[in-house]
Amino acid sequence: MNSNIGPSSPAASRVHHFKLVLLGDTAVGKSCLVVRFVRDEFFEFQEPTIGAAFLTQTVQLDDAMVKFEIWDTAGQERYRSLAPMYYRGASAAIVVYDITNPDSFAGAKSWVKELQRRGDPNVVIALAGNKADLEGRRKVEFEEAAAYAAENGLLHLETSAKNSNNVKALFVEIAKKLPKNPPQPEREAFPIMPQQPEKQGCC
Amino acid sequence: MKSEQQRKVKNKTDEKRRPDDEESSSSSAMASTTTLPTDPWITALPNRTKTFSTDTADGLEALHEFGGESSTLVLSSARSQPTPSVTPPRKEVLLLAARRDRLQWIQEAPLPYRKERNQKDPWEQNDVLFLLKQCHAVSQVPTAIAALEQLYNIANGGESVVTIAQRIQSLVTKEDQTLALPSGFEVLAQELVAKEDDAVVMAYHNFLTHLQDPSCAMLVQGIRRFCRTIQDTKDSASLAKQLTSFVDTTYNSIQSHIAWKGEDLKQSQVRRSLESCIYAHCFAHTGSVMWNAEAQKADDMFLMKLESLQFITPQNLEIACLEDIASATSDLADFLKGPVEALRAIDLYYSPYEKLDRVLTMYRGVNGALSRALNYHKSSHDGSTPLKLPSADDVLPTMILAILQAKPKRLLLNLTVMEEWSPPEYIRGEAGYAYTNLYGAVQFLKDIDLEKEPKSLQIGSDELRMGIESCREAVKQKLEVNDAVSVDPVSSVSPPVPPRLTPNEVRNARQNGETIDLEWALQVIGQRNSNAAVRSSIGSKSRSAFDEATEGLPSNFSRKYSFLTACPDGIKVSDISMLLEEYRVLVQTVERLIGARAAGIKAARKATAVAAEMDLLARIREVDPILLPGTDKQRNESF
Repeated sequence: MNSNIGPSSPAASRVHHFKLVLLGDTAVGKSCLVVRFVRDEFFEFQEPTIGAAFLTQTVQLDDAMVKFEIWDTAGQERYRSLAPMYYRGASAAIVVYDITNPDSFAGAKSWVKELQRRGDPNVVIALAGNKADLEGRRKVEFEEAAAYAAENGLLHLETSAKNSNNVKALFVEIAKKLPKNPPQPEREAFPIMPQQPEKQGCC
Repeated sequence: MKSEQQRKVKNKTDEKRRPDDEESSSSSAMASTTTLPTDPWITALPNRTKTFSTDTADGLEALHEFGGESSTLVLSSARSQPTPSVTPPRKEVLLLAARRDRLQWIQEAPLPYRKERNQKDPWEQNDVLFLLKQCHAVSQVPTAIAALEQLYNIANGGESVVTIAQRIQSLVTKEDQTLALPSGFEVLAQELVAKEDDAVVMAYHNFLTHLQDPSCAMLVQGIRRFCRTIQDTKDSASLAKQLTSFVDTTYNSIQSHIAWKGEDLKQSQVRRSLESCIYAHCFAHTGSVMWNAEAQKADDMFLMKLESLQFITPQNLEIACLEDIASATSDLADFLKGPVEALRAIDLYYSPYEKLDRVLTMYRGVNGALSRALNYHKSSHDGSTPLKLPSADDVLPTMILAILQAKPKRLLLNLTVMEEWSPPEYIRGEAGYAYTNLYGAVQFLKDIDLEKEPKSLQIGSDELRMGIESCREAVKQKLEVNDAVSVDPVSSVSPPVPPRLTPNEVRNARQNGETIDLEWALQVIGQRNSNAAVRSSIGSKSRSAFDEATEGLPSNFSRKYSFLTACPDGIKVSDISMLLEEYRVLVQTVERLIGARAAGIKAARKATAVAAEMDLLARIREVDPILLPGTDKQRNESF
């Protein structure tokens, strides 16, 4: 039984690992976005997926390889109070809204506010306007969201999980913005590799 | 001569030795000599040439164990002076004793988990014997005789083990030979056979086999000493720090250890087995520290909350894909069987790794179940459309449902243990995500306010109130049934009423000139009973089905039905009184029959309810005896 508990294999040591959390109201397409991202890209060591709630995917940059551990969160309002457990220690967050639903944009703003107030101070936040293929039903203007993103120092892209537009670009942009020499972890930071064996007895 | 040498060395070493090292004093004395014969293993294992300091008790102890297996030792001590060496025969005896002791300790290692009761094992059928079997002293010894040796304190001059053995031998028949306690390795071997593909047991067996290698003497000694010294630590924070730090250090030393040379440690899951070994050995102590009154109270409250929330359905938690299944609770139980089993197993395992592994299994089980529900109407192998994957919107609430179904014991404690005892890298990746979901689900359930309409549930206040009341009523009934069951059946039966003689019997006897005394009374009663028995046996044989069927009906009831076929014109005025009489008798008969039928139905329903409750109780006892009253003591002792 492969448990996937503990550090990754030694071959993965050159890869930078980052925890990325997905936030946003229910039915904005958080899971579809990440499933599209993970399924569209084929990698040799792709792990089998049994759910969309936790997925991993690697992005190859010019100078580095970035592996995302993507944590989805329940979008229903009733589980909102549990969100801090999920974004604790996250290096990046994608706050998703639906461009056809202005309420979801208001929800996204409150998520951004919460992350800025309670999340990691260095967390990279991306604002993703999903369902961009439904241009005819658009209720949230691109400019409005872009202005909000610029004002708050967020990455902003409009995506379509349906036709895959901008999905990979979103993750690549985040990967570029993440520091490639993350500080050595404390409790919530990042997987540590086993220390080199010391030449000493156990007692 | 030999004893004098030993005494001299002993005087030197006793100053630094802890009281619990007394039993190994002779071995330590041997080990603190400077020149020992060359051990053939040493030439093959250059890294086993060790330097020890005899300035500390630890050094002496390590030396003792290491000296038990090898001998190219260099002592560095400010006080150590050349002393006469132990004679070869004596050394051989000591070497053998140390080795035997070490091997026995390894072979008696507990399993990585606690086993649930096996009803076929006579030791486990009886509560007292089961407790005895579970207790540390007994679990560490190979046979029932050795257990008795511990209990009778034979080593300190109690009754000799041979005498006890002989006495028991005369009592125990051959059929009862299964009562002999299996050794740790025997249990492990049984588990290996039973769980052929279980990676945990395989890896653990492999690890223990490695530990038996002579080159692991020091390693074993280190682990044993740690398991002993940890008992001085009484607060959970220090406990966690010491445990994690010791596991790390020991694993580091294993990585460069000769016994595992050339082996892929990750592949053979050495760290996992090491953790199981250490945490299982320390369980009695860690349990006593962590499972304190506060933790028990919190656990009781949480379990009570779970009992009160049993009415929650997938609709209340907005799990769209499960709403159909929710219509039948049994379907839901079947649907969540895997995750529920994994949740309950968390508490059975000792090490944080294994506990987390159960959490991961539970998370994957929830995902698997949801995938089946999401793709229920879709052919899974057509390949035309990709299967839907469950998202966090479904996973978290389904985990909440699984907790409600499982009602796992000590879940709050296990969450704490996993967090405090796991190295940071364990609480990441998929296992970390699974753990966070479980933690979140527990937090959600804890936060529900039963006194007012919770915003966190899709439920009206009336429905909530009724749900809570019905759940509480169900628990109350369970407890009442349990109380009723626990009453001694003998005490519930009324004491026999002494037979009485009627005045007529006495008068008739007097008139017949009989002497009225005790002898006469007993004779009359005996005769009366025998007559009654004869009557009863005759009656049971001679009574027809008709007699039985009409028993209890009005005495004047008959099945003649005089007017059944009569025409209205044929009835005379003189018939009216008879007609009315028959009508009254029929009314009385019908009323009695209806009454009897109603009582029969009621009794049958009651019997069904009692049977269902008994069955439920039996299942509770199997899966969650904590809910039964009077189990507090047992629960405390079992942890």
